[in-house]
Amino acid sequence: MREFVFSFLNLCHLALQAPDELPTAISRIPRPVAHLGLVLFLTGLSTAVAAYLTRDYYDSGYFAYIVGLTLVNAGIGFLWSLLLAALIDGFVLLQHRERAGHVWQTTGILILSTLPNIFAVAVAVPARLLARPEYLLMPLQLALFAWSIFIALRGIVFQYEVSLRSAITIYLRSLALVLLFPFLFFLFIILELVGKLA
Amino acid sequence: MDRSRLVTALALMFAMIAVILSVVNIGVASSDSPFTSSTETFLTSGRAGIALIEINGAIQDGYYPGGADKVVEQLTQAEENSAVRAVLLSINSPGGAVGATKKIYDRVMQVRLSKPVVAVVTDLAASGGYYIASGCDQIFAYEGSLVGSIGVLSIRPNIAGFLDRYGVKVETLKAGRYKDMSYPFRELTAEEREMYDGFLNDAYQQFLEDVSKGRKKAKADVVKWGEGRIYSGREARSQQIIDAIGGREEAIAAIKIILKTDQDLPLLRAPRSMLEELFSEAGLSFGLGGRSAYDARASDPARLRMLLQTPVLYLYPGGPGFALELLEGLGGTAATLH
Repeated sequence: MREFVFSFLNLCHLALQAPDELPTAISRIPRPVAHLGLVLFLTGLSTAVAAYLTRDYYDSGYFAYIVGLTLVNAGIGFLWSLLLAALIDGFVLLQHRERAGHVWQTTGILILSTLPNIFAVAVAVPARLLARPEYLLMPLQLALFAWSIFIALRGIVFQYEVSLRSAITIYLRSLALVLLFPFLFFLFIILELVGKLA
Repeated sequence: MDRSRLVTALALMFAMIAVILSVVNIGVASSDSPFTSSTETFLTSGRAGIALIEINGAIQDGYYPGGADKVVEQLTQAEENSAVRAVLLSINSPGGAVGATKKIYDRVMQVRLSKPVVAVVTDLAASGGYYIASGCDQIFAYEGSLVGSIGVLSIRPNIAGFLDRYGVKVETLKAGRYKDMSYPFRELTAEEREMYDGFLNDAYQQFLEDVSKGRKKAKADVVKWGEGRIYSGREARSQQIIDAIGGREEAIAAIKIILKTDQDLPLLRAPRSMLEELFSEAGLSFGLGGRSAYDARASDPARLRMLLQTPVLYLYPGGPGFALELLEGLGGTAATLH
């Protein structure tokens, strides 16, 4: 247990302060699923509590809401990281065939890149004290989001040994595909239906 | 553990403590709102709003709809509930019992410390009705609303002449010289009249002081409004007895200014029981708390009868309806007494 705590703290330290070392660290941690699962749970919990905290009022269903939202956040965090990692690896494969094939490590990097969200509650607490919480909440959340992207990009640079510019391009392309996928999917269905009807 | 790792560990610990404390805070502050929005939709449900609390008719102590205890309870719920961002007190009352009025006024003043409380006068906020309104941050009334009647009243009927006419003699056996001074079977002595004056004046001074405190005006200003004078909304506005002319919409706009928000704030109402709903819709009186057409004049006979047992009243006995009901409240019908 003690070892797990120390290795978890070390992983968090690397993610927050030295993301360049993440690819090596992820490949060496003894129980990657437990470590990454804990990161997903903690960031999911913090985001869920922050979201509930900024509500106008709290009702007695708060516990179910927080637990449910934590699980949803963790689930989405995992799926999002997995999809994005697969796409990033795919784009790397197109450019540098020999450097691809690290979907699980990239998934780990992307999961760890969500770690700044652990401070979502710490951001929401002072924001709630203001008459217009959004004025503080929005910039601070954007800062956390920027920090996440920075961790992900540094991780990608060192995982695939690509330049920062390439990492940004690959990341943005993958992000665009993940975001556009539902629309592309429906467009494909519509085109198929139109084609069949014609 | 080196220093940079220690910083990360402390930051994570801080973040987790914030999460735990926030969950505890949410747990403590959470409550099922007794106030529900009448226009609740999927998008607006769960959003905070303004609690609408109505004071209709004579103010009387008791735990029934419109009774002082019920109003105080609603004010407490509104104060404690984070769904409620402000309170809109809709007042249509000629006043009522001293203790019941003071009880509501004190609660309003307490709620006002944490949330804006704004009063809207529909037809009448006289005497005790105005007493309560004066505790609010702002008072709105229509041009034709009646406001004021800052004064104290004690109704002591004297039916000695009536009983004499019919040869009825009432013998009162008492221990204590003044024990029967409130009985309607004889004239008051000069000493007893002085006693009445004493406690009426005490209550009047209390009224003036509380209005002065609530309205944040000098007592000398409030004295000018007093002596039982009644004002139209327009006149009351010009003398700053109220803050503005308007109804609920204007009051809600004022609340938004106080809260510095442009959010849509729905009116939240405390749910009424099925029986209250049924009788209210039918326009019938439900026990002592029903809202009949005469309620605003304190003319519910049962309520009036209870009020008449109270020696000192913050009450505006306006309108012919009141006079007729007063006679009824005294125990006979108007026709019999004629």
